[in-house]
Amino acid sequence: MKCSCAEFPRTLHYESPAHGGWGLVRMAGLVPDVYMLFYTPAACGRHSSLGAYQNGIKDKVSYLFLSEEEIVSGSYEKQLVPAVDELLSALPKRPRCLLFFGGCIDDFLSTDYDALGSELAQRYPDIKFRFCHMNPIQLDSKNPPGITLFTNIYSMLEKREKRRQISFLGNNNVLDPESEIYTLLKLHGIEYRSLPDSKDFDTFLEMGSSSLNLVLSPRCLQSARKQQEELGIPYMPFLPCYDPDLIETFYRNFNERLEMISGRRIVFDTSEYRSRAEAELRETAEHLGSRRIAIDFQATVRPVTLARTLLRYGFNVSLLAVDAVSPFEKESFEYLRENYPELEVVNPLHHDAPKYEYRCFGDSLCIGFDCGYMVGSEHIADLQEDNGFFGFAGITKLMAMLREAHDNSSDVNSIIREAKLVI
Amino acid sequence: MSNLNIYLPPFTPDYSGCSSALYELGGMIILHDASGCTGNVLGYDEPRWESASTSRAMVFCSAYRHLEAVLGQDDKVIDRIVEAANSLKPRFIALVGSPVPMLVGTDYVGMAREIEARTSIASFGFDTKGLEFYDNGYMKATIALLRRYARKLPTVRRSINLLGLTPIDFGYRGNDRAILSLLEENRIAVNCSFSMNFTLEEIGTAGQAELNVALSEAGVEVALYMMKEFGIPFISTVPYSDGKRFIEDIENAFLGRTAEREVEIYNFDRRFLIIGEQVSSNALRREIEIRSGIRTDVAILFSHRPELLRKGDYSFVQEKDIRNLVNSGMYTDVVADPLIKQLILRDDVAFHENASVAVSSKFHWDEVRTLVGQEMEDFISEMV
Repeated sequence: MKCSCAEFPRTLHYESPAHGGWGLVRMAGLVPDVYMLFYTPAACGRHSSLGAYQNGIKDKVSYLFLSEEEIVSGSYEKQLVPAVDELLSALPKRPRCLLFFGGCIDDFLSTDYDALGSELAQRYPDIKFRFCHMNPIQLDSKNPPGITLFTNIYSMLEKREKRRQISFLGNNNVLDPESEIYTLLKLHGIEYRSLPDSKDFDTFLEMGSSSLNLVLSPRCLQSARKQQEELGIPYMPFLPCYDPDLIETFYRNFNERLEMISGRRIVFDTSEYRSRAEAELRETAEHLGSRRIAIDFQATVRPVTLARTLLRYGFNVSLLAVDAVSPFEKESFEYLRENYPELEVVNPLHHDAPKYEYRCFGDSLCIGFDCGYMVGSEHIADLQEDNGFFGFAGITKLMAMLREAHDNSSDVNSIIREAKLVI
Repeated sequence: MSNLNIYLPPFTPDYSGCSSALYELGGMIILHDASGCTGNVLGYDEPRWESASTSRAMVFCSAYRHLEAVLGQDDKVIDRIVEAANSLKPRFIALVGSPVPMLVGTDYVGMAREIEARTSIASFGFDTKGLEFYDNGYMKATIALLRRYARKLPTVRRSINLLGLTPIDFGYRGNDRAILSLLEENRIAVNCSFSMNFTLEEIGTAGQAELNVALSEAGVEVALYMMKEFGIPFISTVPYSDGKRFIEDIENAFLGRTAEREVEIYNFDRRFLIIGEQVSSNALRREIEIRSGIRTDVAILFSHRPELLRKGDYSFVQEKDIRNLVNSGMYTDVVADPLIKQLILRDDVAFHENASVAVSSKFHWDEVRTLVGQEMEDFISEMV
């Protein structure tokens, strides 16, 4: 469909072999000294368990299988505490926190989390217990599983005296160490914390001492609001992008927030970073020439904004593969509608996806392997949830990736396998 | 707490078995779920999905949501299915169940009837729940196909149906073709090879078989149905190595003779435990015992038929049972999926890897052995 008339009606979902991402189990596995206990029908645990194997964290996950009788009678609740007893006696090392995960059916069972939580807290005062939800049945609600997971994870933080420190919320990967954001933090003498940077549970808890949360994923906005209310940590949202204007504006605002924390007046001149990044954008556009570009929604949190940026710098973006337009991308989408009404937009989850009508885009350079699989391309930039790229340095990294993908071919099936996707 | 799995993953569930039985037939398969169950099927239980772009397989998620479940809005799900079917024109439509629809009492058969009325495309509803093993879903799907497309026909001599042949039990590296070749070489015709290398049209000829060969426990359930409905007798076994014993079993069955015979146990220095699917484990046990005289027991991970159990076999085994068995000191050798190895704590137990898709999925599905031929001959010879 053309961008000018693109719509995203509710259809059956097609989940291609390239569908998936970090998954709850892998994101929860970022918490140091965590253990996860799923109490679900056996089937519900298969993908997360095998996803955990895939990502080397199966030693952090166990399963209590519920039978039909236990579900119907509600007797599964009585099994949870003994299951924890048995589990903890079997584990070689005691976890600092235990995250329970109910499946979709848990939303219909009225599990008494408060009673269970108090009983467990009394039995094991050294462990923090939280009840999370692996319930994609709530994907269209205000509380889909990714959001409730991070709200639960960060609810373990306690109110502490504030330090010259900020936290990154929502980055699954450690932010690219070459990003200029670290230079700015250093100029202010401000430290940083984040989940993937936490080497142990105590380091993770230090996030409670932060003076600002920089929110890098919509999954963490709810938690950021709660932390502001309960821990007194203000937040600032900035979702990763590759637009020099947006990045420059971000740094200007961010610097002001940091000045309030550090008490230092810092002039952070981004012009050199910006001109280097823009040179990369222009040179890469020239290098790629007329090569068509396809962008998919699993590659970056802001695929529409990425399309806009690349088009503005002369790239031949021809296909945008998204299942919806997020509220924070509406402006970019309107820009595309107005300025590039002929841009092709496809919903990879649509029931017509298995017709593979987009094979005519097979020569495209695909940013993200989901559209790479869909169009059958051999030129794939393996970007997944932004890979930890950030700021002007992120632009440079992405451009290097595009040139590499343009010059070399790769096998999409191998990339999918190596991606260790969790559904 | 027998239901606590600390080390092993949950095994392939019923809805994946259902999907596997239907996968090659050109139908539209809809997992009635929110996302994760479809993820199980396509991400971990269906090796053929990797080539979906060339096979044009049509497996979907119904994208079920909380409000639809609470308000009983099955009509919205039906609308989505009808819209997709009108666009894709599948040979049939299958609505496959999962835990939440079970909980809210979904009437799958009723929904299928409405879908069929609106699309004029044959439609099925399966009340799989995600609480049972794949064999159960396989059986439901295959019997539904037989009910719809097969009828009793005059018997064609020396013809058989293969039942229970899926990538879940046999991988996707050519076991289907190897078994079919073995039968062809021995002038045994295959009417329908449920559920690999077959078509809807071939299901129509299944009722003319002289014999059904159930290659797995899932196939036994189907064979029992066909015996009742079409009067076709069956045997349950799997070919190993040169396949001679398998062919012998079939020839004996054609003659109405039973092939079962006592195997002499004379080597008491070792004892084997095979952990896995019942029919293939029984057949492998026979190979081991005949060749070596070593007593071999079977522990069944999935559903089982009581009449196929031998004294000393184990059914309904959970992770804890497996841990106890492999560390009991009773067994010198364990044959099982590679993931089972982590449960063995003793140094004096030899472990022989025999990959099962239903256990370790994509991590070892490239290693599922070809049963007929030198690879299996070497495996058995090295073990014994």
